[in-house]
Amino acid sequence: MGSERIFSAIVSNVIKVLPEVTPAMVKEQAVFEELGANSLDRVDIMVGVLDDLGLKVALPELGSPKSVASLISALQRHARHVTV
Amino acid sequence: MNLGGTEVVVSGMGALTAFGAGRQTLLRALERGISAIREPTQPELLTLPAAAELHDFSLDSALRGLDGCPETLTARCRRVAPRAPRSLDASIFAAVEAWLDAGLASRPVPAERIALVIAGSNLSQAYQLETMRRFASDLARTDARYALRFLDTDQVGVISELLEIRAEGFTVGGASASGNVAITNALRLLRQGHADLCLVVGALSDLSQLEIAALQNVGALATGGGRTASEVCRPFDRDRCGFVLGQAAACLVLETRGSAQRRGATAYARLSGASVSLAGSHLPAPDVDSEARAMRQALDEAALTPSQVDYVNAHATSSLVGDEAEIQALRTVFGAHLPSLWVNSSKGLTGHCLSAAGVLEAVASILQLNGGFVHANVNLLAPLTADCRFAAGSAEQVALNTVLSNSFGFGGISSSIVLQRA
Repeated sequence: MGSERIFSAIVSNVIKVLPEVTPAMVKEQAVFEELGANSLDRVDIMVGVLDDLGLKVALPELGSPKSVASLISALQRHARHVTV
Repeated sequence: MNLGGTEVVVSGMGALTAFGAGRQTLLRALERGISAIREPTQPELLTLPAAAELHDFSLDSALRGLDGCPETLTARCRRVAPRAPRSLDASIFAAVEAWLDAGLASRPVPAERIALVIAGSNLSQAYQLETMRRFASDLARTDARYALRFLDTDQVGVISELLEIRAEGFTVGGASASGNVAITNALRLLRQGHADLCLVVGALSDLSQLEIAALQNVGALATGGGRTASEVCRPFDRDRCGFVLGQAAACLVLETRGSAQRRGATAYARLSGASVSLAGSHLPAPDVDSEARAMRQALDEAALTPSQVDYVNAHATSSLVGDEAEIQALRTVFGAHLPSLWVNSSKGLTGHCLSAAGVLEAVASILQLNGGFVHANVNLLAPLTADCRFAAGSAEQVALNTVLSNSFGFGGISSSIVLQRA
């Protein structure tokens, strides 16, 4: 799966979960905690991204990615094994 | 047992009821004696003949309607409690209203000296059943927040974070007596010096269809008896047919007299006694002996004799056996004073608000104490007994100094609290 598509799903879910964040603030190197996300917000973001991308991955398998980049690579690792 | 003679006062109140948001709305309803009980509209409650429902409650707009509620606090509520179950939203509103009322935003108490007690258990059954239905076919997708939300103590976490509370905090269960059991524990905590101020929140019991059906089958909920919804709830009346469910949350700020004086806070009333006693039975039947003991112990603790009580805010739910048992217990405790003692039941107006009932009725008692009136007994046309001085069909102007408020629950849990003019 292309990282572009994953990235835009992450951006839209970050701004949904964190109303004070603007799309421009969500860069690839952005760290979730620095954007104001607590541990539960990160889970909400991951669930939203999985839903938007139509991926069926058990959450614990994604580990706990701390940044946008690490979430992209975790998703790409799993996306290889599924049909999208 | 009054440890060290520490006086405890009520310095703030909050209430969310079927009348709407805020203690002033409740006060107006008590003065007018108009019931909030109607034909139900919420899907969970459609099998009931009548209920006092929270209509269109949204935490965000309820907080906006609160005088002096800082926008930063409203924003924090949104941030800390997104997609919260209704019981949590209701508790947040009541706690914030009481917090502001106590002047804690401008005249604070150190966070390490503020405690929090939430009254009730199994507070979000409707949310639990809904979550189960939503994720049953794909449990791997279960909302992670549910891990926190299914615990009643989530309310302790959220409210302590919002209002910066750092002393002791816990939930306490006592079925329908939860509110008074929580007030009793908070009083002890303050008297023992563990905190200077304690928020006591009577939480909304948000029942699902499952609990409603079981309460109907156990014979506790009103059958309706073919009456129109507004006439189903009739505490102390011969034609009563069971309790009518009410939805509410309420909050009391309890504070040591010393702390309230240091801050220049208003004392609405003094909490001078509180007691809980058990019947030693798991059955729903009421127990006259434990009810009488709870009242006597609360009065002993307040160093009062029964004849010094002006008014009893009864537990009276409109239950077939419960109302009768409470009258017997009142007779046992008050004897010859009974005919001059005012008695009413707020449940005729608000419905039976279960976990929240004790705290809500403490608020109702204080509003009457300070307003100099006893509110109406709704639908009391054929009183169970002639030896009680039941308030009539409209409010009566009465000078009150001392109030006793009862709450009894399944599990044989009986409790009483004593409130006096500040």
